[in-house]
Amino acid sequence: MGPAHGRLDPSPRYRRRPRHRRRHCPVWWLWAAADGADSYETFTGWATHWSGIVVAVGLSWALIQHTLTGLRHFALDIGAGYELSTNKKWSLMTLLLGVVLTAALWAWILRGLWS
Amino acid sequence: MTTEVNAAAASGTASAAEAPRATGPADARPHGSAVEGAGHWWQERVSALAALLLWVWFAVSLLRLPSLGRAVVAEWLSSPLAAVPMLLLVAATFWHIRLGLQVIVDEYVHDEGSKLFWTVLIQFAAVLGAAFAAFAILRLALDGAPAG
Repeated sequence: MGPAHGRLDPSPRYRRRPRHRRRHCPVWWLWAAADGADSYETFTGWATHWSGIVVAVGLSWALIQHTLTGLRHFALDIGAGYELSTNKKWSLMTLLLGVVLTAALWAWILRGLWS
Repeated sequence: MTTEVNAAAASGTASAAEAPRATGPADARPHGSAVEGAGHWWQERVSALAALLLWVWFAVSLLRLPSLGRAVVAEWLSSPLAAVPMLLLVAATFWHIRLGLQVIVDEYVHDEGSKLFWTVLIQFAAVLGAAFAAFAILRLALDGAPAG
């Protein structure tokens, strides 16, 4: 059935492959934690590998950018900021802020990871 | 100028034999609203707000943990004050994802068959993802995680 059963089966045919490792990172993290130490090690192995970090930087940037754009649209929903120059200013600001916040997040994470 | 633009837009829906004509509010009004549009719009905002608050809580919670080792994470999630917001976070996020992807389909997929296919696929995928995440949270929270 689930991955846990695959882990107990010694035959190589059923050996579990890390699936979905590039998508839904937090869900994979939760699943790995619930599944056991082996699964969690597989997750942390990928999460700290350079390719995993590249994917995670992309995912976190997407989430931060989406959040900032969403906040900008909350302001627009209220009816503020429709003046063309104001609109353009905040549009550019979210792009800039998204990169800055993502860089700050990863500077902080990598400092802890490699110190 | 406006008439020309409207005529171009209308020609997409009018049969080829008919002469293109302008469409305005008077043409659209008899169709009424799409009924569910406002509800969808509102749910998108509410789920966005819920997800925003819960993601901030989640980020702060992770920062406050002494490490992200499995034992530490498992102990953290064994508390209802962590597990319940995590379940809400999963629900709000996947619900918001479903709503957002649905808008893309509604706006860019014009073939009715394809639209139905993608709508159902998005619905299934969102529920599947949320169910797996919720199962993992409950498994940790209810202390059913395999030892080791």
